[in-house]
Amino acid sequence: MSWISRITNVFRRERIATDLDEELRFHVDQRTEEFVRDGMPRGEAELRARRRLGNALLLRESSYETKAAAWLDATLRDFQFGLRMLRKHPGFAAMGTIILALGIGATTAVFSMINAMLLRPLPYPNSDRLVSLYEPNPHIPGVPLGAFGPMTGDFFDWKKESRSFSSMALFTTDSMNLAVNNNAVRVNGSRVTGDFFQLLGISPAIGRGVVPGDDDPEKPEVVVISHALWRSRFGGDPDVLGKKLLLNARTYQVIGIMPAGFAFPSVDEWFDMNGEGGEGTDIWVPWVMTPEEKASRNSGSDVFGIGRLRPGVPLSQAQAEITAIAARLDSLHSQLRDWGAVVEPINANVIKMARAPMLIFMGAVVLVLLIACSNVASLILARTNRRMQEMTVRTALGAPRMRLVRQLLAESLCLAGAGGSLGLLAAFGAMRVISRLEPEIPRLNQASIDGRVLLVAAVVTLVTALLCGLFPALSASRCRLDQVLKGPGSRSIKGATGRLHRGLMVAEVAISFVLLVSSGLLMRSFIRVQSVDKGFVPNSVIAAHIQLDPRYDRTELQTAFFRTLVERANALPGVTAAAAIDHRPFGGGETFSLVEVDGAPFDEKQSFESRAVTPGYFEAMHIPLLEGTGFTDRDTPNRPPAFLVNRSFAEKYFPGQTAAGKRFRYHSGNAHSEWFTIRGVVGDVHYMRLGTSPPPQLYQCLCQSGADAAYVLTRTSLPADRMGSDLGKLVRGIDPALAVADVHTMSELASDAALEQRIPTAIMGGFGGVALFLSLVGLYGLMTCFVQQRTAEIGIRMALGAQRRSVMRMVLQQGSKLAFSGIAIGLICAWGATRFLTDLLFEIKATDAPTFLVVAALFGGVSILACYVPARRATRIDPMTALRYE
Amino acid sequence: MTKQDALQGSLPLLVLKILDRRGPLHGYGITAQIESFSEHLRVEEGSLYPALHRMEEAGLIKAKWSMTENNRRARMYEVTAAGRKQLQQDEQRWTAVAAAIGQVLKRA
Repeated sequence: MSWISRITNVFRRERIATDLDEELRFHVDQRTEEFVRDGMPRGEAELRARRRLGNALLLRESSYETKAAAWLDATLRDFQFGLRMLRKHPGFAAMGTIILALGIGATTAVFSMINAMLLRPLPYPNSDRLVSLYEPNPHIPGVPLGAFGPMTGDFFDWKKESRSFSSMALFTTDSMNLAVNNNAVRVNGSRVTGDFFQLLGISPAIGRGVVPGDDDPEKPEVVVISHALWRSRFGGDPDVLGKKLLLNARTYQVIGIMPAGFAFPSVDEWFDMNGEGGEGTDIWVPWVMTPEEKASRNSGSDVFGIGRLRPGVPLSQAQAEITAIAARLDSLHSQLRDWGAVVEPINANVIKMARAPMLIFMGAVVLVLLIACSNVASLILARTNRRMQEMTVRTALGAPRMRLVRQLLAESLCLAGAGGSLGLLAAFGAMRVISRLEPEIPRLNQASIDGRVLLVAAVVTLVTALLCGLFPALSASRCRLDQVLKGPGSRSIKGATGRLHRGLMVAEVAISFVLLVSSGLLMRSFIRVQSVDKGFVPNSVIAAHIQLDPRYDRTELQTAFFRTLVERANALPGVTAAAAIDHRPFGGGETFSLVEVDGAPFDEKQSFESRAVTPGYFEAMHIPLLEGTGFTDRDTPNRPPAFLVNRSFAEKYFPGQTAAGKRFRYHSGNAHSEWFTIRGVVGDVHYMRLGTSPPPQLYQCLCQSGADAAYVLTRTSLPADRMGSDLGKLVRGIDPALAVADVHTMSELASDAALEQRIPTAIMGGFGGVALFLSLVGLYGLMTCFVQQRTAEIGIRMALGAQRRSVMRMVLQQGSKLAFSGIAIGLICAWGATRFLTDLLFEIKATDAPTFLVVAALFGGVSILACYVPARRATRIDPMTALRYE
Repeated sequence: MTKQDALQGSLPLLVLKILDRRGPLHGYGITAQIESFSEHLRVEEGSLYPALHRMEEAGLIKAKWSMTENNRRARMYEVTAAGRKQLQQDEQRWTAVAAAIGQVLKRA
């Protein structure tokens, strides 16, 4: 009770003070009356009465302190004073606020990105118990773990034998053709085992989900649809249960509608390795498996396994159990496979991909914040130097040192508070802009200012206030009365703070240098990536995806479909060439093979990208045929399979020889295929990422291998949407149950492929720019301060006949000495720091000498420029004014 | 500070006792009462008011503004129930201590 009244009394200070005054006045009056009654003259009586009461000011203070929380009051007054000082110096306040807003805003923005992408849990009950299950193939290194879903046979064995999981489910990401008004559209579907929905802990909004037993081939085929599809396809009809859907030319019965927003698996939460997704899933069907399929240890790669850990079971225990089961089963299944099993938190995929760049950004942003802090610290230092007189008076009046430090810290806290609020706004704006510019970044659109971000912003603001306020406060409060009172020209104080000031400046330049070198390296790397020869000419090529359904279950049917499609696409008006490929460039979802080349030792660590293409693919994409002959229409399923290799393949295995006519065979585990003959060599193509050089690649004829899905590529001058609708009509003309999807120009896809380079480059470029700007502002401020402090000295020099030129040289020398020590230290630091960037760089060494030199030259140049204006000002000093100044 | 502290120990006790006996009084009245009852005690007026305010904060006394007979506003203090309890305890302790000290002085 008393505490609360003491705290509220702080805000009623005026009222309490008047009350106290009145009470004391009453006392004095009464006492005076008493003395007068005793015969004292009134004037003397009053004086005596006052003296008896003692020091009224002190009395009031001590009475007040019992009534109010003194420290709180003092703090509030410090803040009031701080705000008043800021208002009195708007230039300083604006400068400091903007600098801190930049620093705190950038930190908050990066943290809210990390928060959205890495820290926020998935929207499922107890999502920290959800794990992914992988079965990595040790013979194919360098491929992300996410590409290795479990073999169905192994999965069901794990499920049967493990005790660590409350449930396990298997699902696929499938493209499906959904019939709408006699036309087909493409939807993202997923085949799921019975545990899927129960495992995620999400129940349908209407009806039921897929349950164990739905995979019985005897039962009618059922489907669960997304909220979005329900609205678009059925107009939100509540009586939708039991309605029919024609999916992949088969009839399914709707049994449930998922709640709005549920779209698992979606690319946001799950980087699907097909690269076809992009959005979420709209359709879930029970995964109907034959007993052979259930026991298969040779299933495809589009399979994903997830599990839910039993309460209290740690990940390590589940991992140990699964490893033990996998080891035991390996010895039972006659093939020696040693593929192992990996259990990972479900969002580990996303985290792994985003972590390295995020850590680098966080590091960079902390550096920017440090620069901002040291910058504002210099500003405050320069100002406290000018306030020495005020500090001295305060000390003389008996203010303890703590009180001065507190006062100055309150001022910097006011500044940091203003900067922090502005920075938070800026961060919010920046997040909106970034997520609009780069909608492809998963989960970024969910980045927002939540409680955690606010907390971090508040902590950063506090730390910032301490960082930029503590040094100046300590150094200013260290003032020694005798020395300051001796006069404003006292050297020792300026010497001490000046040293600190210059130290800060050097540190600032060094940090900015590191950031600028980093962004320079990324920029050079980005330019390299952009200008890299993709191996084909993407301009005016349009790609569209066609997914066949299970009716096309034989190679002959598949090849016949795609041959017809390509023939008819070739005949379309406006199309100069057409072809098909199973995995388009920058589409992900590669096929990896282990290949043994005749005459070369088999290296099981070397995997090969392989693709199936129709004859005419290389011509349509303008990929040069370097040797031998290409595929022809005579390559049919009943002829010996034809193969082409790329230049890297040929140069690696047959340097200086012709590759055509040489032989290779496929390896799978410890089995191998027959020998195949290479027919020709084509140019290297960047299929995966622009930032790596193409590995050895193999091509097979799609007219021999078949494919259940492929991209049709057309070289045309028509716009993509027009081409898409033409191709759609074409496909429907061949089979009305099939749809065309994922229609994009190749140039668009190629520029998206540079995304992973573009974002870090843009962000680091921004940081580097901010750092450069801040350190130049700092240098400029320091030199201005330097000139101001030495006005008298310069005046004397000039009065004694110093040339303007030598004065200018003196100031420039002083400034460039700082800048160049900063650059020198920065060079050494950058040498050590840039190695963390190595993974983000393409064809550029982390210690790329030209980048270092250019940045050093740039920095040296602009810092001399930053010193030039104060130096000019120094030469304009009028000796007479300067001397009077003292 | 130490000079005041010596008196402060007994000042609240005296204030409570006076207020308990005489009813509501202003600060000046309290000094006057203490001085008139004891011949050698002089209240440090400088420490009276902080003591009064501390006691008020502690809830031993309460204060309100009211008019004196010659029509001036004065802050009148009054003992609370808690104050009475405190007075009882302090008085007992004081008497006991005084008696004990008296014994020592007599016998030593």
